[in-house]
Amino acid sequence: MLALSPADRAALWHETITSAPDDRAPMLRVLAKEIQELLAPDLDLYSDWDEALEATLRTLDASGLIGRDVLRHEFEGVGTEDEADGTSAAEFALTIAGALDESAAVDHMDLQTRELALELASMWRDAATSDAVSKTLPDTLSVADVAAHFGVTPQAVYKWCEAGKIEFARTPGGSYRIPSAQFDWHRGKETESARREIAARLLRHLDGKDLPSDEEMVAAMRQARGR
Amino acid sequence: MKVFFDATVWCGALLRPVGTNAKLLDLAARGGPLRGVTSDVVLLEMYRHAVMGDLRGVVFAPEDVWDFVRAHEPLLEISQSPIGRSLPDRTDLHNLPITEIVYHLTGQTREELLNDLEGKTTLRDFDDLDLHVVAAAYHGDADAICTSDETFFTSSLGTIELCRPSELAAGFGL
Repeated sequence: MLALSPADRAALWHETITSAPDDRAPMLRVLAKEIQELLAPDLDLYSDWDEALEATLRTLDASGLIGRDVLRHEFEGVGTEDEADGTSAAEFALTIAGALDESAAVDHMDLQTRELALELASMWRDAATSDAVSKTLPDTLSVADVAAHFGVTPQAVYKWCEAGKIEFARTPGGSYRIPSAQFDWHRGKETESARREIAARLLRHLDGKDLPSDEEMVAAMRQARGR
Repeated sequence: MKVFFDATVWCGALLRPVGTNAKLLDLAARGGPLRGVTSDVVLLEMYRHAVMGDLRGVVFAPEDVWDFVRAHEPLLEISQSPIGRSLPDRTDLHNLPITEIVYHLTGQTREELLNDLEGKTTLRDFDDLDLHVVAAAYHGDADAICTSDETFFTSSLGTIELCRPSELAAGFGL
């Protein structure tokens, strides 16, 4: 199967998210296959990822986040020649992980789908984590390396750079290189899985409960504090 | 940027463990651009609200609350005292009023807290229930206090900024 051109990819994404309910499932399968073709060489997403890819798109479709422009845009830009504007496979994977995290936070989604979203987000982050970074910390890091490590999207890391929250340099080709020495790289790593586990446990505990808004919560807290 | 997280952020994270407050605490527990700080008093306040059903009737099991705290342990390393890890065992404190908890954990009365912070803020505007947050934020060298409690935004905190969780999250692209 030949990989689609960037323009054809954008069209495929658009066709999928605007498809009629009866056509939706087969369109999502086609899109999943195309994503796999595109990312497999860089991220090792071969046959054991078939189900995860389809589940990812079904989950994003259920939460409505499949309609996010950034997903279509990054899908279109993967592997293009332009170093400054192109998207790496890892960055696209991390954008998908971010959208899955957001899907898990959608209150109206059923518990099973929210748990699946968290699990899939974790899989995408693992797939995007480069072997080099997981073994020894290099002097400079890519945007994808930083995003994967801190559990955020590439767009968040670009924002940190542009807002002066982290140091970075640009290569002659325009890509971002981020010095690793500015981070306390191993801090909090040992409790990362504990945070994931307790978040999943609390989600199960809270399933079906009528949760207060932040304003209602603060009012209730202030009332209780006075006792 | 170092941010002090108050009990509204912790309780918000418990209620929505993959929501905005939880994302902030998770990022702050890592060694990136957002550094977090909190205090033992805040953690005990969160514990009390969570297990006593103060959060509009949603009740959490004590072990779930402490597991949640422990999973964010890097935030406790820079709190005002090393008591964070042993808070679950301090059952003598769990049901005390906030002002008494402050005294037990810091050894300071309201007047002593105010004297320590003299000239830094208009702290006399704060009631006993909020003063410990401001004091701990100064003690932890925080640049900002993150809170969902709008009553904070009516006061001046001197050199410490105030930010709502949604604003802080947006600033970090979360």
